[in-house]
Amino acid sequence: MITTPAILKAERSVVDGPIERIVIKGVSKSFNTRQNKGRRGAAAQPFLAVRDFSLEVREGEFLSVVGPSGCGKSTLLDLLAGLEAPSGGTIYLDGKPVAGPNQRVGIVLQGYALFPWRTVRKNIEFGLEIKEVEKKERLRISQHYIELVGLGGFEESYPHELSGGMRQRVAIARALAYDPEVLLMDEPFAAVDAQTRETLQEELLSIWERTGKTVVFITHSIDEAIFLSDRIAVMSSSPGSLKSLLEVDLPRPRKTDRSSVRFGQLRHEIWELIQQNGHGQRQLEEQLVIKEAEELLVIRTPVRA
Amino acid sequence: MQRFRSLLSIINQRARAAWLIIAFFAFWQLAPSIGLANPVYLPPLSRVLEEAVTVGFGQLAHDVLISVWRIILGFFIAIVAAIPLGFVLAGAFRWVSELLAPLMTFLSQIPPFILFPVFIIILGVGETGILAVIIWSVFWPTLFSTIAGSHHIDPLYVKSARSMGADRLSIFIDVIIPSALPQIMTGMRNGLTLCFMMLIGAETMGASSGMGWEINMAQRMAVIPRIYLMALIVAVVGLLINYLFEWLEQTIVVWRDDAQRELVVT
Repeated sequence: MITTPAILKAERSVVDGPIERIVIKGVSKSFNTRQNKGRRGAAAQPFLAVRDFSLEVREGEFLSVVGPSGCGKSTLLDLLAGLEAPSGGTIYLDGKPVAGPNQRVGIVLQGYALFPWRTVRKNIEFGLEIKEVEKKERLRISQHYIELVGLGGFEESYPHELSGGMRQRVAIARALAYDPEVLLMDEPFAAVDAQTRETLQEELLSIWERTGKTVVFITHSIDEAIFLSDRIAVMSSSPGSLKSLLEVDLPRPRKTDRSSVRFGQLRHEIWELIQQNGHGQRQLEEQLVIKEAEELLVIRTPVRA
Repeated sequence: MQRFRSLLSIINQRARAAWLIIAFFAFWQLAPSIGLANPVYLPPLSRVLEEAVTVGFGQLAHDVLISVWRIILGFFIAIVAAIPLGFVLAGAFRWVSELLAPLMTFLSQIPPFILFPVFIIILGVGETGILAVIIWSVFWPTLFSTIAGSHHIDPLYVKSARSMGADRLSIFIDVIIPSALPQIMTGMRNGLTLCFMMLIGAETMGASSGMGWEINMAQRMAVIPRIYLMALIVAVVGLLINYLFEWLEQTIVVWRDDAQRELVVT
């Protein structure tokens, strides 16, 4: 069941007409939870994380997935990356089914996941080493991406010598370096402070515009999703399924749109959608209200141009 | 200026520590002469150093080199056996390592020094028994730290390597080994400290060369200054080995920040 209360065509996609980069067809994922932590009486029952999820991601589009914690957003990303196999349904990338981890997708995980024993350059070159790109070429490519994310001069630094924002930039460069068609990002900015977060969002948009990659961005921040995306997929939880798909009709570039009226409307709309989640999940809702309050505070502070 | 001041404070700290050592040796020199200690049981430092001439520097160097060579050989054999076994137990046969854990912990608690007579019975008198003691001392801490190190790898590292298309072999080489390395090095260092102690003990019991043997000979002939001399040499050699390994650790594990260092130590 897909309800679309606000289907408004984005100007970008009208120009060439949408081409599907990723097609998710009726995908489900269940886990056999052997140890049911804190869930008495639910022994050995398969836990359904994602149910009958269908979505098409267009070529070059920036699509965000939002939803309450535990709605299967991260599972969805693992499925897209081929790290997990779906229990049912199929995911197609450029018409070919995703069978396992591959370099057609680049992934930026929550909490950086940089290798602490590798320098910035060596981290970025990891995927290229796997691809068996020769040394000279690796150096050229890594230098290009180091400069793209604005980390020139930090090539030989180790991750522990960098700030959170810088580490996240390395993670983005690492995912881009082996030239994947799709960039998957799992709450990449969750661990950095609000100021850095806004800067990183703007930088990500500029990288996206320059590289033309298709981006699937998972976040729990409604504001982040609106600011960045062409479209937003709202998920509901237990089990995770697609609740709604919204088109973000804010013009680009979006440097100062965070406080516009339309931005506020969209935020409210998405918030309501997440609120309508059945099952009376008070805890999740409370969590969301807190997050929302935090985000409002961020919005009130003047946005740097 | 800030840097200069901190440099000064470091020099100051080092100097203070050095002064303490100098004071200690001065006290050692003076105490027997002014009647604070019996010079027979505690000969003055000068008398102890004189003993070095009596024994001969060639002989002393020989003792030290023999002992150090035994450590190098035993240490090398132990880590070559323990590290691969640790990885195999931790990775491929996790259930085996869980099954064997209580037994291994039990065995590791036996001081190799006590086992020495057993080693002699099994392996005969000579180098093999001494080597067995060193191997035993280094093997267990290294094995345990390898198993623990590879169990405590952040799954996020493996996940991100997998997402970039890394196969099992390159995950092992590029992720598991470097991830576990800091902890393995810590285990190796514990083994090294232990094996040095055990070696000296083993040499006093059944060897015909080495620092421990020299101590044993001094004891038998009741040459008290020589016992003190050997104690000094053992301390210095032990310190040097420790520094050398610390330097090696810092050179290999350059990425370890202070937070991680604390984590590994505790």
